[in-house]
Amino acid sequence: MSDAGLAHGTGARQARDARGVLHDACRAWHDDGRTRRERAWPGREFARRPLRPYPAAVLSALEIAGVGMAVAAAVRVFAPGRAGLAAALAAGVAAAGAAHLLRPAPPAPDPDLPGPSPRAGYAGSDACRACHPKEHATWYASYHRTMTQAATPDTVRARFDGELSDRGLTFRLETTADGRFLAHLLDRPGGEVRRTLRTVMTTGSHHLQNYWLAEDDGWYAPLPFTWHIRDGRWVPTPDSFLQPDTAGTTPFVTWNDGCVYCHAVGGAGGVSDDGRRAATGVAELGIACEACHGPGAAHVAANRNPVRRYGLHLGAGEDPTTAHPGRLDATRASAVCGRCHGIFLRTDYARLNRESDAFTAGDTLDPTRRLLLPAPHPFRAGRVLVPPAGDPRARVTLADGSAVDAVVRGFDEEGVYFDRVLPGGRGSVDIGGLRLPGTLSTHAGGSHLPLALGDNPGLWQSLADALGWRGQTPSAYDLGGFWGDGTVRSTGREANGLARSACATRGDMTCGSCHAMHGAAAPADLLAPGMDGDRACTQCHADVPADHARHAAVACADCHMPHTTFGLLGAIRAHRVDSPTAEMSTRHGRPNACNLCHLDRTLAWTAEWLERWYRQPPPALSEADRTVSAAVRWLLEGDGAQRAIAAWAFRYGPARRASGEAWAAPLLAALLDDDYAAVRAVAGETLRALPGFADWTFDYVAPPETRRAAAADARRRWATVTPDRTGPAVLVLGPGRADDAAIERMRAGRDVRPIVVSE
Amino acid sequence: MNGHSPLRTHLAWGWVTLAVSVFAGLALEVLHGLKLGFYLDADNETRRLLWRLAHAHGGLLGLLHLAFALTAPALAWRAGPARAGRLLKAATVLLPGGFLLGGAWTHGGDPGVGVALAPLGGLAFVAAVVTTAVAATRRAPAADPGQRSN
Repeated sequence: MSDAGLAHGTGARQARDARGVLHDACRAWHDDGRTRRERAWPGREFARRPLRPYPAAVLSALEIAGVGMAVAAAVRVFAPGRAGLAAALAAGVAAAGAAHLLRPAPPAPDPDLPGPSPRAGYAGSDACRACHPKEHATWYASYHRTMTQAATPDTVRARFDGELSDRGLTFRLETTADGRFLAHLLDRPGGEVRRTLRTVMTTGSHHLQNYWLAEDDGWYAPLPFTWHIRDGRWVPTPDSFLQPDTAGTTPFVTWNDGCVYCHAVGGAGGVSDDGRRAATGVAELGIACEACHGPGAAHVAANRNPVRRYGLHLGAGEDPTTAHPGRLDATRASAVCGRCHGIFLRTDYARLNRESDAFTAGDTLDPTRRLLLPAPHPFRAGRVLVPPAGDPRARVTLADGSAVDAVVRGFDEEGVYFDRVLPGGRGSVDIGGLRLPGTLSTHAGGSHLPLALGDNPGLWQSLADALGWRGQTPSAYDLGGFWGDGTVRSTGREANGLARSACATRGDMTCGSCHAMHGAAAPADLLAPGMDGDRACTQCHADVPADHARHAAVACADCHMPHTTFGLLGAIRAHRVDSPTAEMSTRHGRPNACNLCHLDRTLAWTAEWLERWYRQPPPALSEADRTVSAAVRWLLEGDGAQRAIAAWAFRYGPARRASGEAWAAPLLAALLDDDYAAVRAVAGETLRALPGFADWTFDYVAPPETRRAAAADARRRWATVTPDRTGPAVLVLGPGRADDAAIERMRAGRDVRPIVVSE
Repeated sequence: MNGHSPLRTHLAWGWVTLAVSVFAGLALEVLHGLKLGFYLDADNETRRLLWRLAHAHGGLLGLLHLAFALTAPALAWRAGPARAGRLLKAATVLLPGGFLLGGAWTHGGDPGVGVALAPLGGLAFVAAVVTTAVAATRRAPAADPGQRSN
């Protein structure tokens, strides 16, 4: 270091010391250790926030100049004449210099938070406010803004103390006096601290809040416990999602290579080639203006020119420096939301994690990601296939040397499926240069080549490559998010539903047809004003006959967008807009709208009315379809998603009015020991909504014996209630009497195939 | 200064402008009291700002007219106070009027085009104040020796 550098460093250090002395003096002068509230309300205790750093803007350049000028003016008043003028100038310069030296340094960025995005051109949401105050205000009030926040006393919703233990991990939480949130990993419950990690970010602010711990080498790992805001309690994160208890820590991801791309603006994973380190950067935490309108720096710079601005105000065309989703074509407009609200596979995955998401508002999805639109399984009800993403043609060569062309319908863990019947027997299939030997089997309407793809990840990958999947490859895990007809059943993935809707494929429906990011009626669903009723549909379908619904008090969405999507421990409306059929339930396992309201009716009853009213040909039905309520069957013998959706339907207001409610308790009680925590949570919540259960309590993550005791208590309470539906279809025989044998038999025969509905 | 002098008109301008501004202030308070969205909603922040500016500038200019009327006879005008007075009147119309019109129709964070009157009024205001300041700092011309003092 040179002498000059040494001198400069010394001066800077002295200035910092001087600032520290000044600040301490100011604090001592301003308060006596108590806050203003504490002085105003002696004796009361208030939550203390850390003392904020003295804002750097307080002594801005203008203020420095002002100090200099004021001192100069004062000197000039008392020292007239030329000598006085010189003295005034000198005093002014000296005062300005002193003010500059005493100016506090701006607060250093938190080194544990993501750094700046390497992607250029972002201005930040603050830059939008001056010109778009309404839009800024409505965004600021939204849950989009608070999707990711730096963890501060203002943003952390949890009670961050005590000890949490689950699946072999124990954390002791601590909130420090200076407002930091520490998670101490213990070697055992009540044991020694092995590591201490700082909580630096939060995800969510409405239903759930998750916490991100700053790990070594720039990684952000999740605290494996989720704060449930409404309930005011911690729940192990795996138990907050629809997955079997045995799935362990499946939803655990690192923030750097997953969340950052949708829960922040301009996110860049910055993952090193060897995958060990992450230099993750963001333009802004949360989903802010530039997530939907594109990088705004050029827009801000261009519109500093008032002539340009007023030209645009007065109608001189579109502003090419920004994207306005409301003025894009339907495909691009929906892509703005669909870039995050969808289950898709990224075509640029390697580049993505190394650099950043190349998608910019105004783009189509194609260049950067491909929506997963699975094909129905040809013969296994309720299951789906990974569809081809490219050329689906295949060449089948049989043992006798003959060859035929075929078209691949898709593949799953058990093999490859073709869309027509092929000659059976041994042979091989050539798909895009990949040769797969095996024995072709035939099923109704097609053939398949059995392959143990579920046990052979390499072959799965090769087949996906051969069928045109580039970058990320769909996994069996991804398929769990879909009903058997390819309808998405995971919340927050509405783009997959929209892509299956005739309103979008044959019309111009976009997300913005019903939703508004600015000026929505409510922040939870962001529906545009007036779009929470039939107007959402009649804005296009104005010519629907008055008697079309055949029900006095049913909304369009009740039949065409039933609650078949699961997330946040509840059901929301499907965003695949279609009409209910009995076949969607018999063949694809997707609950239909009729039986989600008429909980006491069989599928045969639904098929009969759909045929009578809408001339739908009835599908082939089983004996059970004719004798037991469809909802009861989903509840007791369905897969995890069917059970959760059906359990939720029993507390849905229109369903309770149509089907009664005082008969459902013994069926719901059977789910209190389900092997999916989410199913138990929904069943317990629904039970609490039934007559006689207002003061009944249930903890869905309690030990099994506690849950079974709660179920027994529920049965005892139900015995005092007169059921409003009885009969073999609902498995209720009379007051206090349920068909327990049938309930037990159906529960034992439930679909135990593990599914994970990723949110 | 008699009842018909030009300076007398500034007293009238001052009090009338103050009266209009006071009523405008009351109107703004009523808008607050009734929580009217077209004034208070977040998307009307620009209107709120501009109408408050119109109210404030109107009140200030009204007071300035009064000050001008009371002090102008004591100043050493090069060619009389008429020019400064006209500039002050122009500012009184253009400045609050520009803010009022600019807030009536807004474009997000931008005022309506009526706000273009405001900078014109601002220039007139500056010119009036500078002209008056010059008159205030000039030395009064020597008294006419032939003039008889009382």
